[in-house]
Amino acid sequence: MLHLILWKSLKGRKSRLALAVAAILSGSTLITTLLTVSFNITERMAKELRQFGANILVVPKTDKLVVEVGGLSYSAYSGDDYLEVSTLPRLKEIFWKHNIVGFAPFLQGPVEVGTRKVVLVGSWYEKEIKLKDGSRLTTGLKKISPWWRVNGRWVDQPYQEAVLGTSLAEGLGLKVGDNLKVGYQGRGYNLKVVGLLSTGGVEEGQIFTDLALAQRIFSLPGKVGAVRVSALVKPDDKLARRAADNPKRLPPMEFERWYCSPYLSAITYQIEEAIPGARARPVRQLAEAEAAFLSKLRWIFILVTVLGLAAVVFTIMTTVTSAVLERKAEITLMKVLGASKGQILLQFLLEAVIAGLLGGLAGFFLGSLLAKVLGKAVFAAAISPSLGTLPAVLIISVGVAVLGSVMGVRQISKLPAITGLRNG
Amino acid sequence: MILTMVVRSLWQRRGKGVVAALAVLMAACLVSAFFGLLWGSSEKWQKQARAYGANLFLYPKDIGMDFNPLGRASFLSERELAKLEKPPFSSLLYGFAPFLYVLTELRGEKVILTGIRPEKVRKTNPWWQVKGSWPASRASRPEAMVGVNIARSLGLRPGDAITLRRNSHTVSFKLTGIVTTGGAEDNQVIVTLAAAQDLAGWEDRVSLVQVSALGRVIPLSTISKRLEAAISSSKVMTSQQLVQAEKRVLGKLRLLMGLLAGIVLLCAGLGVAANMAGAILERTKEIGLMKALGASRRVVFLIFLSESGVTGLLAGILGYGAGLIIAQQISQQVFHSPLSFGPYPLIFTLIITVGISLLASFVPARRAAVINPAIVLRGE
Repeated sequence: MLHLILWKSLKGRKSRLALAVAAILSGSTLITTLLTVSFNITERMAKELRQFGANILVVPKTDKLVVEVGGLSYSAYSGDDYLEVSTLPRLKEIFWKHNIVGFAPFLQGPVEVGTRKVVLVGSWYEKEIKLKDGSRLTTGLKKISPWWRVNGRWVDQPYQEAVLGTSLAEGLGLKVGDNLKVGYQGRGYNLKVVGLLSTGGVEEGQIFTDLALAQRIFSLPGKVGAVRVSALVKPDDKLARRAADNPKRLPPMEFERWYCSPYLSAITYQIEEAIPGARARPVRQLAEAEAAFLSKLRWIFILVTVLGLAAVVFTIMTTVTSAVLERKAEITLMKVLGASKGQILLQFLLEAVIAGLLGGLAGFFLGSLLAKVLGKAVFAAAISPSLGTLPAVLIISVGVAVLGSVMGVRQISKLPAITGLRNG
Repeated sequence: MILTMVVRSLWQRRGKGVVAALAVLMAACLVSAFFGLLWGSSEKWQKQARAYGANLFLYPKDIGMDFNPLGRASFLSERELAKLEKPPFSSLLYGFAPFLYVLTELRGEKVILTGIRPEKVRKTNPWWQVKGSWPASRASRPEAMVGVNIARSLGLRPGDAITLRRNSHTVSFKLTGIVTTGGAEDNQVIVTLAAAQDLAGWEDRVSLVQVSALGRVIPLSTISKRLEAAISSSKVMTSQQLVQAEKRVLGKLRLLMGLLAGIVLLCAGLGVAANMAGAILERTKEIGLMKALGASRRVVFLIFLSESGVTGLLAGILGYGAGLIIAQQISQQVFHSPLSFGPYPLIFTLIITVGISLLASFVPARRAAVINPAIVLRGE
């Protein structure tokens, strides 16, 4: 009997049902998209912010004072102030290895060009290294400083070629293809200039070579002076701030939670564990700016999602309530003919559930599709809704529809039968 | 005549019509809040990106290829920097900070003394973390802070006195703070610019100026040319990394916000359409009565259309106001400053409410106009 009434009712009011479903559909599409984007936005944007450069600097542990200004170091190197290049693959063996986007080693020192002293920097540009598990990784300057521009090309022949900073090349009157003679402690090296580097920074006054050549020039086989690491991190929260001073002072449970979260401090801690004699320090300039940017972004999206949710709940509710109110005469007639309150309510509830499910499901799929397209367009990778989104959307669409319908029916039940049956 | 009917109808049905109008209002509120935030926040994000530090570096022109500020004989003039505080630069620059580097000795070790203007550095380099306080310029005794590595290696604490020596000249400073930057400053002693100039005997000299420029109204390349023209014998270097990364990230953010706004527009439009169409569908009997009493098709059509239009307009304006208040609240919460935006949110809100209301009412109103009164008035 009930399903017969329901079927007739739905069939006879196709357009009205369609409108309710349309309102629910538009609402659930919106919240699906908002929820999906909000859940993913910090992670996606964090990846984009890595464009700004390396956020961790790994240096040898030393208590010696370094005279350093504007990226140039004036201290003499001494015996044990180096890291071993062979230990670098361990950066990709730490707990958060997948969050290490890339790294580049640096070995620099002053060399003579004619009568001038110039800083020569040895590094990797696009170096393929072998990891312990047999996989290969390409890393170097190109990964951590994607916006450095090389006019010409980077070094191919490690021991014979060099890239010059643009300002230095201008000062020395050198072009791509010219020869450059550098001297260190009485030994001379002939290099061919293959590229000019523009960065807008001190690098423009330096000579860049392959790490291997710098190691040979400075007679430091297998050594590096510093490593710059670009890592995807989670913005600091209360736990990370408490761990900041000394993580070992945290209670064991919290230490575990801190260690297993990709905080900048946890990653630097793990790098220090992995590489003997290393001190990993966050590049605060990037870390702070990134954290502020991401936390603002997260705030905006949380507030916007809440706003969208409120609007959607309200709109669905009003639509469903008005759809029920319109059927005043019908409800009153049922009541007059002897239907109990429960029976009437049940019929309208079922209608609301059907409309909510239809609209909610369709909205979820449409919203997921929109989020996917949006992700492709902005981040070149689709964003898909997380597991909890579908239930959340269905609970909202069905729940609010049911609530709106109950409110309508109750309002009508209160009317005296004669008012309810009156036309108009 | 039609006008009176529309007004009367709206007034008498204020209970009933209010539901649809509220739904339209809510949609208008959502759209205007979204557009307010999206349009207004683009400028906020750009300021936010300035937390990454200076994007332009002002050097003395003849540094040539030598970026080493210690061995250099050429400097910029501090007095000339006052130009950067006045128009046109005051609106183009987020901030600027002069630096002077001097090689000194501290307890027999070579250290770099850096002279800064604390209030400037705090704005352009917000990541400097100071335990204790920044050196004050008008203190009775010269004040200094030291980098964290120096403090650790020499066992210094705020309150200690340090004596810096350059050639035969010595000055004693009171240590007010320990600074951590994660950069070269961790190995430096930081004092006020005036104190550094005094110690070195270099009046009015500055080694470099970090400039944090907002390249929104005018491209950065133009700003850097104007800077070179304004400050005599200077050369501007542009940090490629920062500028390109910022451009890309802000571009993506703008695209994301724009697409999201489009989706909000679409969904709000659909919601408004469903509600307005429903509101007319509800009133077939009334239409039948009007027609039975002799109303022409055109009149019925116009009445319904203008009712929708008026509802849309009223709800749209109210919703616009409410949405803007919400957007401003959110902006205060997140950026600690109000948004400023042009007329776009209002335009889009009214397009959605009035435009979609009319559009959505069009088909049902047309259908209403051709209703056969006899069938409708018969009752259900």
